[in-house]
Amino acid sequence: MVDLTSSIPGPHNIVMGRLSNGLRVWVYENFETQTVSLQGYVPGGSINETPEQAGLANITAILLRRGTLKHDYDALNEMTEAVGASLGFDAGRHTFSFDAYSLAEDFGLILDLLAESLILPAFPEDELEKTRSRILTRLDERRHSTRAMASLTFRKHLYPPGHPYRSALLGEPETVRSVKRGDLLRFYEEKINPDDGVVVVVGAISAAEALTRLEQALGDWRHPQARPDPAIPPRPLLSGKIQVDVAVRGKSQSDIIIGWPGIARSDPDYYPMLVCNSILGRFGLGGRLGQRIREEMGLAYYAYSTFSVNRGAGAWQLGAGVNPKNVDRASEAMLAEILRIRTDPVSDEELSDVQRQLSGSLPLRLETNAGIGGYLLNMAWYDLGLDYLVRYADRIRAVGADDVLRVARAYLSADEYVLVAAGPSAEES
Amino acid sequence: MLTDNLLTRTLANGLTLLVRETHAAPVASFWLWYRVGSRNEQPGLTGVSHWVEHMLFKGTSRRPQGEFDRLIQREGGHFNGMTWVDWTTFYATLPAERIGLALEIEADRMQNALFDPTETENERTVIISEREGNENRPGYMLREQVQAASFLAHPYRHMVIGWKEDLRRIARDDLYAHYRQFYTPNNAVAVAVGAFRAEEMAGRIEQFFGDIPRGPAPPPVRAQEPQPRARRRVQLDGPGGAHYLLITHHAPSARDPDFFPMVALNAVLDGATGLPPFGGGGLGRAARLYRALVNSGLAISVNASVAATIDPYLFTISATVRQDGDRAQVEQVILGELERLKNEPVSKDELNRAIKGTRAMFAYGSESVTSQAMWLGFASMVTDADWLAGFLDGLARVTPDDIQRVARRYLIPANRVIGWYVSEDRHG
Repeated sequence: MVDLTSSIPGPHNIVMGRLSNGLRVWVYENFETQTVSLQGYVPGGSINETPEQAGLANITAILLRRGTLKHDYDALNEMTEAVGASLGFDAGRHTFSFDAYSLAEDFGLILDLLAESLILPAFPEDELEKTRSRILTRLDERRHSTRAMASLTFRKHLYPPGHPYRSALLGEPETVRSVKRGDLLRFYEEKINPDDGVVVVVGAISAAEALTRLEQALGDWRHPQARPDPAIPPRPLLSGKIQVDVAVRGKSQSDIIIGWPGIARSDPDYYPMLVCNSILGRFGLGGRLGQRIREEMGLAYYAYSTFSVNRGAGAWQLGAGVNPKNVDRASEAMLAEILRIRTDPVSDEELSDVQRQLSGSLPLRLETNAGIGGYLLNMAWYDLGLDYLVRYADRIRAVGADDVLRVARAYLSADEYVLVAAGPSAEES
Repeated sequence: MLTDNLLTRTLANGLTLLVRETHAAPVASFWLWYRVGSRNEQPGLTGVSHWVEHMLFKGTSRRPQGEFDRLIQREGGHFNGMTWVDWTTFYATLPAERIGLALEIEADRMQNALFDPTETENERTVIISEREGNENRPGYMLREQVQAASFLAHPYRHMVIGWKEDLRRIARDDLYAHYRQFYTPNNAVAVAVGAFRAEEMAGRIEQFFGDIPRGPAPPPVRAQEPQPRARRRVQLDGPGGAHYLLITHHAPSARDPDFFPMVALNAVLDGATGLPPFGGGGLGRAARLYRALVNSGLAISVNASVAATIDPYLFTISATVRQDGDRAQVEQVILGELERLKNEPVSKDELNRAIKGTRAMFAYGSESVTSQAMWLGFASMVTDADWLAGFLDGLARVTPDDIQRVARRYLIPANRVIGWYVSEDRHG
């Protein structure tokens, strides 16, 4: 019998450190592999944009990878690709993130390029123009995607105007057109703050070496004027049914989203919600929704439930892709499942199936360095504790059928919801 | 290396086993691969292989619909099925001590799938819905048309999911006959990778599968694509946020000596991949096409791809062009890059980058038992595990002359289809 506890990252094998600029570091050694994954979060995401700046955090992240004071974009690409490594930056709602992956032998090189991009970005004017043009096309493509339009419209109706989770991270055509190089520089200096960040390193490297190298590379990275917005956005309130159709011309399929305000990552309801969501729309081929809408009614290839969490409350939403003539049938069936999970406690069998699945699948999710790194990063960012993975199974097992019923009643409703269907208009189909 | 300490065995009923013991994590992955895909389909029955794959999740005489999914997941495992042009595969990855469950399920559904008429009808609309989801994407619509234009005779001409007209008509008995014909031990390869003792695992596989009777040899695919003689163009017009380009050329099969030069050529144009086209990627920003098209601002994105296949398939280049972009120039620049490959030898640096990048992809791909088993099985469907073992060496032996030779041989107008999806968007 394998001792799962000893093979799971925890207090006994995660090494913690702190760089002189305050950046927290977690290292997990894994010499079974030949690679190293480095991932990091620092405060500074789209929550720091004004509504007129929507998309600025995203463009800032992209431009960090587009040239430094020492190397232009071409030269950076030459160096990373010569060793088959990857290096990327991204903006979330609250975070500015980075992600590097390489063979262990090339870790020093990729760390130097990461540090150079973070500390000495050039924000070249011509790269801004190319990026702008690319994003504008992605926004044009978005208008023709039933999935993207359903999701965008859903957020617009779930969150009130001015709410920081309402906007698209990609921005809007008019805001993307207005971004200037100076906006990027200001956002970078004033809204991205290394002090409160975390970096995790997982792979074929010793903790001592990783810490020494990180200190050399990133220990001096400071943004003294940085004041990213620490505010936690409020949970939106929903009253009544909001039903919206979005016309997307020339499509064979409509995408449906039905959803509600959810919870923040720190909410104790996180674990009951994880279990409830899985029973409702994940376990097997899409939980109860998949069983009903796909297997029994044959209406959709995909029907699921999902919820997002962040520092503030995310959303809990159901989705399905169906023939335009079946939108009403599918939505009604989805709402019937909501009524059912709010009315009757889930069976012991469903509960135990899902609990076993969630806890038992942990080793599978911790196979690759990038997979482990992703968990460690969230553990550090959300203060989940070094023993989070070790205690995970107990937390899942502690959820009872009454907890599942309670969260279903607290967050889901068949009377109050936002329902969006994006697809061909009635005249067209 | 993926093929180190690989145990290979063939059972009396013809089932081939590939077993690899590794204790990096307390997990194991089991895959069953069948040599059947859209390549084995006849006109009127396109999509039948993919539909059969779906039906194998719909219950057997021993276990009702939904039971497989439930059994695997409640042990913490994940599973799926996939159908491609040359093969169909089913897998489950589980905590190592529960891997026996996957063996039991695969042995059961190799023989006992029900194809219940009601379940078959429900699945018809699910698959049509899957297809309609694909149809929502201009890239899919373009690919379907260009692929059909690329082959005159070979069944690679239709998409794996099949034509909608066929999906409306295929009957339960068509599906069942296809299942019986191809789902035999002598047409399958079982792959297990994970934290177990290799000999013990081979014994367990034999225990579950050894008694399944051998079937008649599946009918060979007789269609051969004739020598292409005409350059072709395809154009679709429709709503879209951008214009989409897809250029195909006939390409060598995995066993062809030209295959590795073609993989290297692809890497020079668009960066290294692992085992194409399922080995990961993401590189290519230092490669020729990205520089010529994306860095220059002519296109939004560009990708090139080769695929390891049984019969000669396609080398493809795709690009996304903004609505006010210069489509003719994009096409011209791509064709110019192809001419350059014919006229000038590639640099040693570019070739080295391709080899090192591929080595890195193999290292990333070896981190999970699931991807190891996937690569081993995929290789054994189109060639064999020895071919996979020699992949990096085969690539390292490619010379600039080889690349020039295959460029001159394959990247010619008569071998080419140029397809456009032209956005007729009028901005709202």
